[in-house]
Amino acid sequence: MNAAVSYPLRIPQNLIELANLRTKEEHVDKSTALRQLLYMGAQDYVLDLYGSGRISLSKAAQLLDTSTLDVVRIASERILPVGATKAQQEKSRETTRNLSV
Amino acid sequence: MYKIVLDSDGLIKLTKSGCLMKILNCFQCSITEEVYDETVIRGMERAHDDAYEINELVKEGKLKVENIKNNKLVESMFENRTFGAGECSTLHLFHNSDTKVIVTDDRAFLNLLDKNNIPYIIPTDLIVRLYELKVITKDESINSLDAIKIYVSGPNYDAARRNLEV
Repeated sequence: MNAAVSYPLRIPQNLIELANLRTKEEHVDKSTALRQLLYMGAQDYVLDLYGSGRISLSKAAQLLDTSTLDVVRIASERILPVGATKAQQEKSRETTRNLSV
Repeated sequence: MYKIVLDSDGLIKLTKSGCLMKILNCFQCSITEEVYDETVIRGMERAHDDAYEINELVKEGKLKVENIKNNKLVESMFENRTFGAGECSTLHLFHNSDTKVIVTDDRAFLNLLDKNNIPYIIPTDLIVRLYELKVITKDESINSLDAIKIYVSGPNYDAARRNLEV
């Protein structure tokens, strides 16, 4: 678990209203609701970066403080276009020809 | 025996394919402590079946977990914050051992390997190669590819299925 730090932040009124709604729906306090909303946005952003190949799986897991298995699962649920490009697949295929048992 | 190193991406996809054991029987496979931690330890904390399965293979000595020594050449490759400990350590292990190839399907990592001319194999191609080497049957290879279809790109799955027919 990553350590939590305090950070001064001005929050738009509509997000406070959303947090108030979440406190009732999810039975959590307002600070927890705000953290959860922040984490949801962070998760979307990290997965976008991962899906576009701008960060790696390991980095995505580190940023979300979770396991790589979780990132792979979430990416598959969202049908993110992860994985090798066509050129990389062709290069990989060539490399397999050196592989013998 | 041909030595290969897997990062978390390659390890997870081959575990889900159901043919990791066959690969471990044919090749000398290693992961780093960092990959073990981010996939197995953290995965078991979250009760992922795959994490327990991999851990059993480690305990049985079939999958080796290696400590890495830093390599200066590798350090110069990681200039930005694109990568985590798993990929960094995997590359250090590759350069500090007699490893022939890295198994991964992580696009960011593949870009770096491409740029530095480091050989890699993606999981779908490795499954096809197992069939070509008669380690698994065609039906087994199709089942393995189907098991990871939702985790790999559509074009790569299609290419692997085509290559099974050649």
